[in-house]
Amino acid sequence: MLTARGLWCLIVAGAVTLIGLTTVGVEHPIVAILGITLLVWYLVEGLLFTLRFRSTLGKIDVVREILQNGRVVSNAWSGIACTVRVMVTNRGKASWPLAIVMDRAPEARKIRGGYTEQTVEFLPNVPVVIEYELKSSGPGIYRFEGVEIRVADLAGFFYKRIFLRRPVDILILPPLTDSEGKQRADKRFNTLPPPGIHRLRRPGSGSELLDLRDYIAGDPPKMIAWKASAKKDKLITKELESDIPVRCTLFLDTSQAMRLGPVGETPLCRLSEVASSIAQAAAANRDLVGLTLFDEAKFDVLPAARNTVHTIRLLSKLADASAQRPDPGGQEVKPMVRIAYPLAQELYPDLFDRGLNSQPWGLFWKPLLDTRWGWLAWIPVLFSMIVNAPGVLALYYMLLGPLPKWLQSIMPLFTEWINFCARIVRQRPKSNYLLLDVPLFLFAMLLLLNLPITVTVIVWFIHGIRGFFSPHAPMRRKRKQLGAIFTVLDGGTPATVERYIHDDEFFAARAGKFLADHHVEVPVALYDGDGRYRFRSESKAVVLQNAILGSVSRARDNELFVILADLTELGDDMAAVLKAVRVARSRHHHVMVIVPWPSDVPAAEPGPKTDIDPMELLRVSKLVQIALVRGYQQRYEKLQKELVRVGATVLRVTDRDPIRAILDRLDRVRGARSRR
Amino acid sequence: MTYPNSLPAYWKVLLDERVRGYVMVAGCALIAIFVIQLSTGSLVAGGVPMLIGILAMVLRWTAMPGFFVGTVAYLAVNPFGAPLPGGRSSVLPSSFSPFDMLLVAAVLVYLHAQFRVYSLAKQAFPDERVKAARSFRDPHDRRPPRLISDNELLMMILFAVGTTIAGQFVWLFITQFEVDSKLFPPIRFRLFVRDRSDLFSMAVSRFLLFTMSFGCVVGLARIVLWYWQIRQWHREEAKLLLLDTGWLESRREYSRIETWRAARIVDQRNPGERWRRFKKTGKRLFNVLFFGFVSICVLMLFLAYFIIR
Repeated sequence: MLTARGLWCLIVAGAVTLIGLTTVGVEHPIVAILGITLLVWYLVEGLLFTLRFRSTLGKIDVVREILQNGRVVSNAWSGIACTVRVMVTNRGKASWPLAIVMDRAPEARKIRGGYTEQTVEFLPNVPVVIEYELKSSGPGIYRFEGVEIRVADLAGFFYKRIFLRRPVDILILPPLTDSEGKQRADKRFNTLPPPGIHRLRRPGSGSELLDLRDYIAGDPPKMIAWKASAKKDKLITKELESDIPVRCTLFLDTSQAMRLGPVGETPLCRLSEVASSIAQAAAANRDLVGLTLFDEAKFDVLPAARNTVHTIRLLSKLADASAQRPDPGGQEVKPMVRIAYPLAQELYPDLFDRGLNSQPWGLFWKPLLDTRWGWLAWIPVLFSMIVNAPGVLALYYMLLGPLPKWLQSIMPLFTEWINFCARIVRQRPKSNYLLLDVPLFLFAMLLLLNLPITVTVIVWFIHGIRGFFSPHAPMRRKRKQLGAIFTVLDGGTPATVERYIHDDEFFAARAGKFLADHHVEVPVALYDGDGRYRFRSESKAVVLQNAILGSVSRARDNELFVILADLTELGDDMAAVLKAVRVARSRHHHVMVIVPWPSDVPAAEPGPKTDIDPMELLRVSKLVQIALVRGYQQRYEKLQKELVRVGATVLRVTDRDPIRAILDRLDRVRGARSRR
Repeated sequence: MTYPNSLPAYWKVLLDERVRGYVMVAGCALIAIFVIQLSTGSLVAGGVPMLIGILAMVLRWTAMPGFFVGTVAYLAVNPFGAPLPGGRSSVLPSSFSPFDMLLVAAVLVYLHAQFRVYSLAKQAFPDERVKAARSFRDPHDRRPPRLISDNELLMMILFAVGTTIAGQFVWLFITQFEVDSKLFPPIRFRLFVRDRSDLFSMAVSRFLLFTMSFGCVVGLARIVLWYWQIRQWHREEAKLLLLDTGWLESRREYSRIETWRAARIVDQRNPGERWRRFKKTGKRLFNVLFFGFVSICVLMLFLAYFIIR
């Protein structure tokens, strides 16, 4: 609460008062009066500041609005700038003479205009309005944590910071269908059924004639084909085609590998946009669109539908999925603390109060006995007990009589040892004062007799005191404070706090979750300790297989399955996916696969490979880059070959127009069925 | 190019229409101090504080106000800069002396104005960021001059005068009363004291009285504010207090358990690691013990030889 300026002022005023009252006060009262007046001033300022602060603290309202195109919205759209308006109102009776009100803008989002903070006099019932503009290039989430208020007095002696936690997640929905996602305008078939409907050549309740057959008892009379019956001289019944809507199921890969990259520019965001465009274009055609999100462990199905509510739900799901960040995994404690501690300080300043989140001295002491070799400390203790045994034996003799025989036999050894020590001690310098020499003799004797235990005590002390110095002490302090906050947030027990202090893995995992909850970027380790790529997931193929088979089992008609997934990294583990695609194709479903493509990897050119400057090859980094690019291209070619072999179409997201290709395919599905 | 924290930028703020009022008031207070101190007959007593005040204002030395107060106090006792007889205060050692009041009021007004100018032109809020994240080019958080209200200067001067009068009352209290340990409460009015032989000296009595009264006021305020703070705690703070109390009570036991559990987890993750560390530490320990033992033996032999000889 006290600033450095205030502290120095207090010290000076106190010193002047002390001098004035004790030394020169009698003859020169002005010194004491000056000091006392300064202290009174200081006291009054402090009391006023505290009274104003406390009386207003719990009475601050925060209202947040997101405006897009001048309207208040509950979700934002990507690609369109939105205005964030925050109104902070003091509902108390006192004012804060000087305050900085700051809205904490979402992490990793650029402010396009306006200001996130204002320096104001925080008056009662006068709202402080903060307005700024944000724009996201991709779908995701804007995470608004709350409003920070820093209060100071006019002289800068007292200061307080509070954070009004009002966490809000605003979904950034994928863009509304743009030019590339619009429904095609050229009409291919003259006999197009109503939009969203196609004719299935199976008997049903449609309007087009499918076939004629013999009358079976129970057939409705209105279905009797009278002319045909007259010709054949027996009752013939008409069979009509079945009218079935075209269904398109999107399978979106939300695995860890897809979440890598800057916020709003991950492969997942790009594929979400593609999925959104397809969904909206299909919905405009009144086709049914479903969505299945899958990752390494599970899949989540949103059944196909075509109403507006469904489209909004689908877009929300896509936005939610796009906001996911990769698991930093396998992180060291230090970098996690370096990121999480300032964040926690910023968001939970009240929970860092020393009265609430204490740091006792014992927290920093390093106990010797908790170490692996700590038990060795008992050896000198034992030794000390042995060398001090003569004294104990003498006591035994005095109190209980003669010693046992075996003890009597070893007594000379002790006597010799004592004599030896005494002879050494006698060599010390003497002062010839009996009162000084006798205690010194005894002290030196004790020290020599207990030399091992003395050394042990010194070792114990040095080992323990090391904990009070850097880097042990700051790390311990931060881990304790963060651990206590995590425990409060999770509702744990005191044992959990201690576990956070000692268990690195446990702490790193929770700190990672804490950062993920607040949408804070953490440096992600791409390779594990053995140099393997961490985000290659074989289990994803099995989950995708189950998702496709589930959709096939639910499908009533031949449908279009669009798989938006990073399958390139799977390599030889594609068997499960191929199997599922084969099953889908055997049921006459159409399958299209769209894979993300790194922006820095060129597409493999057919024909001879381009020549590379031999000098370039001398650079190791260039060689590694070439090898990685070639490897990626080869894996893609292999994937393409295998999927095409089972009847699927493979496209890269960077290809000219994957959305148009999918819409064409939807038309084909519709049209093929209508042709006879 | 002038950075937001540079001296020219600071001067520019001083010349702002609204800030200028504070600068003028500070200047007037310095002149008042100069004139009052000059009445002691010493130019040094008037000139040095003024010089310090001007430097503090112009060069924004934030340590200067403290130094200024110390200098004023010192020169009030020794107007010529050295412990020579003379000076005004020794002539008028009473409460509500006009010169004392004027001097104290002027000092207060100067300090008020100076610190507010610092808030306006230099820095109003402390920078809480870690040092690594700071840059000298980042503008400090200041109080914008537009926030200066019209009656602010007047209120400041009135506040300073009020504080001066309050300070005089406190001084009156501690000079008119004395500590008497035989009484309860242990103070008595000075005029009623006839036999001073068993009382504290004047200086000790004043010091005790001031310390007690100041301590009582601060302590009482602290208790009231502490209780108010507790009443304003929200759920998370209350939970943290309970958690922390529980942790403080059981920390030693849990610490031991968790230390061994963490070691066990490491062992399970890296099965050979424990044995490797054991060997490594063992070797190190053996070396220390062996050479320590050899050194002690050599020392003992040397001593034994010395004693026997």
